[in-house]
Amino acid sequence: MVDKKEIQKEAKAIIDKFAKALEKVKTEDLDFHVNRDDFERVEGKSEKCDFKKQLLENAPKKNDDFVVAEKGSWK
Amino acid sequence: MIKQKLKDIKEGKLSAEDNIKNFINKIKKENKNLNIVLHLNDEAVKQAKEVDKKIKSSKAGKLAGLGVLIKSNINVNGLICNCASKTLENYKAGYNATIIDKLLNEDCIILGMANMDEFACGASGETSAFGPCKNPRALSRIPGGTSSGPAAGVAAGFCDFSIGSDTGGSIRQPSSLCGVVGMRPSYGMISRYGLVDMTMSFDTIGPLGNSVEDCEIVFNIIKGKDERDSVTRDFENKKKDLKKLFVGVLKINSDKDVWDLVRKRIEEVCKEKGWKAEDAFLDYVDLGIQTYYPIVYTEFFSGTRKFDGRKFGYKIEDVCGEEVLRRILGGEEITKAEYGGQYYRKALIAKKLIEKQFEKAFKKYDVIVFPTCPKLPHKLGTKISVEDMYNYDACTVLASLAEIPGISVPCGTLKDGKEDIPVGLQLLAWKGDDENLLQIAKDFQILAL
Repeated sequence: MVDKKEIQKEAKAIIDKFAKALEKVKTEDLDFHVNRDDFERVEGKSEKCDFKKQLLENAPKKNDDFVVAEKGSWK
Repeated sequence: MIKQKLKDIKEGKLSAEDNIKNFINKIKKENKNLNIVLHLNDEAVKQAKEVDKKIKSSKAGKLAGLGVLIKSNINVNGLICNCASKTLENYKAGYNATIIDKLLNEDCIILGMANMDEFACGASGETSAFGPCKNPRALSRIPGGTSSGPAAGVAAGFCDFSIGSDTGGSIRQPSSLCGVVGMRPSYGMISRYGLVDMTMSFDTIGPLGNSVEDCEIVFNIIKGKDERDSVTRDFENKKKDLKKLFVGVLKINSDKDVWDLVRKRIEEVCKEKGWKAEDAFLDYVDLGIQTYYPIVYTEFFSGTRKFDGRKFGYKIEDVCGEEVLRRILGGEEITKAEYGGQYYRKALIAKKLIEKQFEKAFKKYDVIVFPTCPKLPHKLGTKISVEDMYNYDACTVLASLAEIPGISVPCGTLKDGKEDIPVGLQLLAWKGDDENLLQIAKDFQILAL
């Protein structure tokens, strides 16, 4: 049985330890960007696919044509 | 190897059908013990027969009749893509990943879906919800991870080659431990469309094979820009003069036995080829793990929010294993505590600094070499600490952080108890230099361990 609280504590300890190790890294202003040669997308061709059927096959709860999801419990 | 088999198939000495049947029979016979394949493609033999017809009419593609195993986090239409997790236990892919389309266009046949660490979280292959696969080259040891099945599949002779994903070393590290060749391409070289993401800032897809030449053939098929993966682009290929190379030997912490074997191989090759080599010292390389994991935790937490159990599978937190849960909870914590950027942003800065270190180093060196894995693999089922597990990736995360290509080639074995354990040598090159890297790696590989 997975002990969620224990794992949470362990994860926090690991990230704190790693953050401490990174304290020696000099803080610089750096740019973060994606390297692309151009910024225009080429529109692909549309393909026929029976996606609705496949989606419903994978859905855990369904009602004929719909995926059924519970109300209210989504945090 | 692939080149010879393709010739045999083309000349009619071997049919695609027989090639695929041989693999399927071997898998059916040996997989119960090795646990490498999670799902077989029931249509494989039928598809091979169709390929044979194409071969006879000279209309077949460049990989006609070859059999490939695919890591279980890459979508293959109609096959189970469960990421070795109970979360997606029965999830059937509804489309092909770009690389799958590319392989199928060349008449390659998909044999099935290979085992892996759950959601590509792990380093030993042991976190699979369906049990770990064994290392065919050292049966008592871990195969490494996270592409445990693809690496072990090649080592066991279950396929001509395999496809894995590499985030922080998930192709190179198991390749090293299973004694095969595995390549991580430059970030953006191969489309990840159709890959179930682990950490989008690092994820790549790459080939694993019995030789560098095999990986090169596959690499040339699957590379290239794809509008469906926005980070892909075309790289300029600048051919190097392979007669005059300057090899940097990266100083990094590793077990002495492993280092000695790798260094011996480097010296042999450089002497034989007349290449210059020297020790290379790069700042921040000792911070690879500490830089890599905060980014992984954060992006993995974000990426797994889609596994809420509504459209498919089960809610991930309800059924996942410990390592997946650790990354989700760690990522949740980082996201909450992100004020001041002490975790994620700090790690992104360190990532950039490591990338700059490599950029500077590659102005001097043509290639950088060092061990793929800093230690020998532990015995399957041995309990080791989380940090010891993360340290398996200490040598491989550097290429991931710098967004550069890396390849692991077998360079010998070390005796541990009664077993001869394969050891891998890792070569890195600068961004876009993948083709030169493959050429150089050919001289370092020792085949048929």
